[in-house]
Amino acid sequence: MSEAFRIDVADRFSDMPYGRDSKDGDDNGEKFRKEILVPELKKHEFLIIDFNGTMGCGSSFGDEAFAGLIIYENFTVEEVKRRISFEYKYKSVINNIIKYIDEAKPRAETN
Amino acid sequence: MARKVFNKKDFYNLDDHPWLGYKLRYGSGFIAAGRHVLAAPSVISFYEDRYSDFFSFIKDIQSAAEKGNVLIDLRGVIEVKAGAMLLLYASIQTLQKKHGRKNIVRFTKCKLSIISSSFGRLGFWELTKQLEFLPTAVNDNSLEICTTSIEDTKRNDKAQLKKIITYTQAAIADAGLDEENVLAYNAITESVSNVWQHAYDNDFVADNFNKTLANWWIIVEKIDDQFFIAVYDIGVGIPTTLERKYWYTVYYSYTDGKLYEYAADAHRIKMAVEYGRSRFKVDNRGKGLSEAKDFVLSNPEGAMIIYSGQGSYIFKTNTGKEKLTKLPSEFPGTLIQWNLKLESKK
Repeated sequence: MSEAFRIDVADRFSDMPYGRDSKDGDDNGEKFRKEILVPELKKHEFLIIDFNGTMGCGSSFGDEAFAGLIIYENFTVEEVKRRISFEYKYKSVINNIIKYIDEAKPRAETN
Repeated sequence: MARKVFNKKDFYNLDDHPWLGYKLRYGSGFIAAGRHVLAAPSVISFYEDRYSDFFSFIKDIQSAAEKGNVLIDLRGVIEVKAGAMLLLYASIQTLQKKHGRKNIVRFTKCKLSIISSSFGRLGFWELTKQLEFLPTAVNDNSLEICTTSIEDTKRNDKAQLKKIITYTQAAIADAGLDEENVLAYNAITESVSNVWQHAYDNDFVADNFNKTLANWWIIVEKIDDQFFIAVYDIGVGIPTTLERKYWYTVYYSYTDGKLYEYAADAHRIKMAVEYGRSRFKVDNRGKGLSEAKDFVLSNPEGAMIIYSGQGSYIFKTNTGKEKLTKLPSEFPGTLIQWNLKLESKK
């Protein structure tokens, strides 16, 4: 099994990740998904998303970035949960992200 | 002895220059020192039966500003409420931007030092460039009203948001709490996100809305073991944005009924709060308000107060009841206020 690739969110993206898309500023979930998450998933089988240097993780950010993989990027819930793990001192943030992933449905099914 | 020459600085310091007192009568509707004088209500609040008086006052300020500069007489003020102070601040800042003059509104000195402290602490004297004239008690345990414009957001200027979050997280950490830190981060950033996603969205705002006036304003205040947060915007209200959602009619048919027709907008706010938890939910949006309510539910003294459109929605944890009210007039934008408990776990 290949070693997981670590993404330090504060170092590589922002110490204040929040918001859904560009309306909310530069540090939004859509940008994180498109510019970091999807490219790294193409290069690495497993990712560790490390939020420890951040002030928090907004729910819109978490939803758009990670549930967005299922909604917009053709990943399945099982695949996202198998390939991505999270590290943060605040467990509620990780629990929320996993809940958003579990609730996500591909876009065609939502409309 | 030569009489002291009157200058503008003296005008705002009546106690130091009592001979000037006769120059400024109490009341509204006259001009003093080249400014239209308006007396502030004795209680600056829009709750319950003070709603109409407060918004008449705001409209009077806006009307007077169309004619020239304004002087708000604060000498009769005996009490202020945070939500109304947030609206007053936002109204003045909006007038400053609209008319391009920082000095368009000025205040007289307050009679009560506690009122003066409130105005100073919340940043009013700085807003109106009166720090030099009007004293502000230094209080390390407080934060002024923070605000960010749509231009600042586009430039990714997060200084104001970071200031609020840092202050809030410090208050939470000081109470010995931990996990609540990220809940507060979430609640604040989601509220701000809601403003840009809905209130000022091009799909909803009127064609003639001046986007340079688009801001959010936040006030945070720690009172004993309760931490209060209020977010305000002057954009399109929740009821209007809700009605234009493609899922609106689906949800409406399951929840609406004759029971709520007396307070339709308040009911729409309630629907927006509940949407994030609804089994009828058809997209991945709308979590912010329902998560903020979860926050309130975990606080025995929690309250969630939302004013928008023609309605207000008030939920209090101690009664477990929601109060939906039709307002006497349209609320200018949206105010969302809630509180979290800072019970020490140390």
